[in-house]
Amino acid sequence: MRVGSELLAGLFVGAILGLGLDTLFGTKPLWLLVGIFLGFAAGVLNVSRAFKASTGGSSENGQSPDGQG
Amino acid sequence: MFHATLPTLGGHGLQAAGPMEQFEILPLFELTAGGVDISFTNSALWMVIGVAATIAFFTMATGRRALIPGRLQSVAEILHEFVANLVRDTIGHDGKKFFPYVFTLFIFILVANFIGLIPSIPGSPHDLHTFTTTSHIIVTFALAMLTITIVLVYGFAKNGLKFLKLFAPSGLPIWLMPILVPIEVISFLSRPISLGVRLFANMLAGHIILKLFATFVIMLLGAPIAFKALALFPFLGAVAIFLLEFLVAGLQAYVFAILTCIYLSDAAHAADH
Repeated sequence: MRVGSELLAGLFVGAILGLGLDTLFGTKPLWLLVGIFLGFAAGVLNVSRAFKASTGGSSENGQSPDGQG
Repeated sequence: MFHATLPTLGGHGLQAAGPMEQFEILPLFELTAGGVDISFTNSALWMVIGVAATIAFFTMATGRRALIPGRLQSVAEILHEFVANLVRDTIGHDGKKFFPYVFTLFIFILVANFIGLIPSIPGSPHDLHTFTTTSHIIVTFALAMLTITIVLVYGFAKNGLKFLKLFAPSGLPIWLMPILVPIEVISFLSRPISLGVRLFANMLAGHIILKLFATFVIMLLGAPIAFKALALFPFLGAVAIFLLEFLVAGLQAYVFAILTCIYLSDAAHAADH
């Protein structure tokens, strides 16, 4: 439940932001696609932080994006 | 919740309340202010009852202030210690000033979740049935937005513009910035949504499942005599889910509190890295 909501929330915010930029500039699918990609990445980042916080680090949740290429 | 209306064994067969009926918002007193509907609803009623019960409990528990605590005082002390440790471990020495907020939030959600698990008085009118306020996304989302607003205001007040380093960790190669900064911003914006949706979805799903099991019991009891004994199985299922819901009610209040602490700690230490 925790992982799913984190992943979906990232995707949702990315898509909404993309759609907002699209209606602002009138470039219909472009920013939506970019937003969905970035939103998915943000969702994965959320999930990895959630795991890091629950397994080991106390308050050091995901401040260093090491392991990301 | 858990108010399966008794079957009317009349001509038109069985009637059990639908699984979504328990979430209906019903106005108790109609009120409008400037064209906006601000009626006092059953949702508001159970929030007021929850807050009143909390205040009554802590007034009674802290009334005697015995050196050797009684039963009520022990419960209050355990709750206080629990949240105090949580805040101290997560936020650090800056955390003390957030203790009142986190404690209030934790107790409010805990009491709201537990109130939803109290069965309604059989035969009471629908608008006085016990109501789970946290099963409505507007309530949980409002709490989540409150947390994020505090994070933003406190983060900028304490760190100034260095708060924005939260979105650009130090040691980041410059060519990665255009990709990583939007990802970090989206990740930050998604926090209130996942925070609110998690609590709301857990409470909603739990209460629907509970209600469905209860409806199965009613339906099987109204079935031909050969099937009546089968009603035992959904009944046992409903009991098991009910016990599980106690765990979920406590756990979700804890998760909301600890995530609030983690976000506040981000705000407090944004400039450090």
